[in-house]
Amino acid sequence: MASVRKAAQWILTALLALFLFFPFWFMISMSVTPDSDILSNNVSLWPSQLYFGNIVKVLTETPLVRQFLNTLFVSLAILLLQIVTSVTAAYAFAFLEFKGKKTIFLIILSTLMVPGEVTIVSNYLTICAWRWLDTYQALILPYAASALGIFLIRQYFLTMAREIHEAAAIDGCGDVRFLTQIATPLARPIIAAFSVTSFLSSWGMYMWPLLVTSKSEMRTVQVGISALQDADSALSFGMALAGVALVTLPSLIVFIFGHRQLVEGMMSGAVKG
Amino acid sequence: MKKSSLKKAASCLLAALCTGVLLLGGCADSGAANSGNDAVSSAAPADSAASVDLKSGPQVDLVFWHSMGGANAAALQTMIDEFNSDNSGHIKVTAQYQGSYDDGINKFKSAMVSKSGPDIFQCYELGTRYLIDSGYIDPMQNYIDRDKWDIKQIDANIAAYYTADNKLYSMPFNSSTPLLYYNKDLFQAAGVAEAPKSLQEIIDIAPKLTKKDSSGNVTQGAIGLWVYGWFMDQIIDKAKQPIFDNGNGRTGAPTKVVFDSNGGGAAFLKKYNELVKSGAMPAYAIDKKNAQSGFVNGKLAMYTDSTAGLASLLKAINGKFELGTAYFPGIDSSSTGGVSIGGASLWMVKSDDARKQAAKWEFIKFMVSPKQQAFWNTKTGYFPITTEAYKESVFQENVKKYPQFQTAIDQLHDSSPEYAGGLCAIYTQVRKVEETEMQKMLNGQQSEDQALKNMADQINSALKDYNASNKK
Repeated sequence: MASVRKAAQWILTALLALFLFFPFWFMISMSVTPDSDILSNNVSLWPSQLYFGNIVKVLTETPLVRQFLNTLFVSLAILLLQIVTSVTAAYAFAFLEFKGKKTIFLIILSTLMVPGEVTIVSNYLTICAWRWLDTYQALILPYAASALGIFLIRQYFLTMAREIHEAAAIDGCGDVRFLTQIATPLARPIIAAFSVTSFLSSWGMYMWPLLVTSKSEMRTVQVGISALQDADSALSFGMALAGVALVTLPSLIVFIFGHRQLVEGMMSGAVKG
Repeated sequence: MKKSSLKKAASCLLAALCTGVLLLGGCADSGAANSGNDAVSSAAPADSAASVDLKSGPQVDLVFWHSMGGANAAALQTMIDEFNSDNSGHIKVTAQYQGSYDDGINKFKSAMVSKSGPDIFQCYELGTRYLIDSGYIDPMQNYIDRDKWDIKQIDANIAAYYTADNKLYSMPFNSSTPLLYYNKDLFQAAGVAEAPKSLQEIIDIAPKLTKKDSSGNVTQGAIGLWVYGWFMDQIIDKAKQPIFDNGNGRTGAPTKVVFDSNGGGAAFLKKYNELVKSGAMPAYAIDKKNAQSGFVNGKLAMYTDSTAGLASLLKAINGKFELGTAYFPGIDSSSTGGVSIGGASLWMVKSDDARKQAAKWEFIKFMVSPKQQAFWNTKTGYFPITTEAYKESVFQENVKKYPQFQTAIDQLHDSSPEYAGGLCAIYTQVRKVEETEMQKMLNGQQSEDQALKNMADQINSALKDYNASNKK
């Protein structure tokens, strides 16, 4: 009985995996197919031939490589800043006592309810006024702090036994040392989990980079790949799909190596270590 | 053409946001005019364009925002490179891609509030009324008059679209019209000699072009007239009815739609619904991608699309059947009006720097010169907007290669400026409403009358909101 159930589970999972894998496979397959074959009717699951022209064209004729590096730099910078700001803020909310702590925390939490796009226009006007258009700081700084990060890490800190903090304090360990040497290492799983989400979301940003950059060498890949297709006619599918496939790679790598952290971070609860 | 739904959602959101900016824009507008910061005091540079010497003094740098991607962007860049090398040391134009047309105009709206916009802006036809009202734009007519540039060079039916109050506001650049594409092989097999001219004729000949298998499933449908607000407006245009009041939005900002009361909308929706109900158009064909692949695969005998889609259609068909082109259909034999154009035009952003304005004018003149327009046409499939371009050998060779394009030219010349179509500052939204309601009607969720009423109600209330928040 158990084995039947197990087999059924396997089959179901395999089917689901196939279902989810299909569009991805199709993208890869089309990115090595010449345009004339893509536009023909005999679209098949397998590329009609291994044609690397699309990929070569994307790499040499478009600024996608530079934009790729831009996005990598911006995403990593955002990630680093978010970790620093989230960990320090979360520490304050979890371990320190100060006036208005609850209120400030609630205000920060309430920003989670506001979609980021609502602030985009006022942020844009600020960035313009500072003459920051077409700069890396314009892409990075508005995302330097994350309410979600603060919340997640604070919750994690709260699950750590107060005794650890008290014991450390009695032994003469100050807040900075406790934060850097005890709390942060203990919170590694949740930081890793948060890093994966943060990286994936900044890698996928479209609207903000489109607004604050105009020069193609300052653009991010998401904007870059939309330039591979035209507004009125869609002629170059192969090139666009090759671009998309390349752009998906980092997210995929992060996910493959980070999904353990992602799951672990979400699952792990009680006091650890 | 259709982007991923995610991106679509993003641009919808941006559009919604920028409606917010519009309000801001409305306020900032008067502020800018008062401070005289960016606005030309209309009297000052009366004939300065002619007297400005661009050959001496520092190089003028111009930023050009556009929405051309892929192969079209490459063609555009070739033209700009040629201009830059011709004017080396005097004028340098930098082209910057700004996403889809929707993305482009939304970015323009917020950029102009903070004065970080471009010098020249390529905007789709739907943005025309907004830009006229915005106060950010220097009308093209000023420079045409000053320079005594012959406006007759521009195809009259194309110029008509961008003309309001007898002024040409922007320079047409990439223009297209809708066309009826048909599969000549299927027509021949069915014994249909001529392409239909109206929806009524399509319904009449549809049984001949429809094939069913033994179990009654339709294997070949007659037409894929997919749901597109542009088609609706074109068909009402061909029925010689306006969409909006105030001279179809050309003598002033429209305050309401009139297609619900003048019979144009009702006649179209009734025929359109009949097209689907009679089986002439299979239900799957209401989506563009499905209709397109159905047509390319020989499962639909006819298909409607922009002239700009000709090259990609030919590429997709790849010689499997002979592609025919015909005029875009009207409702019935009484639809004797013409088509209007779609596409985009070049707008000159206001500035009090006379040298800059003169340089922009030089650039725009170059972009619409016969040689450049002939090149542009062969690379993209948009109309050459200057009639002189028809004489260029590049163009003539291209038409010889793609005789289907001749139909597009004939159709444009058979139209007349009175069918230029409507102007409206919130046209993007109007189109969305039209499309949603048509879809619901074709899916059988509402009647033609309900669809018409819903369209009119939603558009009228949006127009009211827009006009209330943008009072001059």
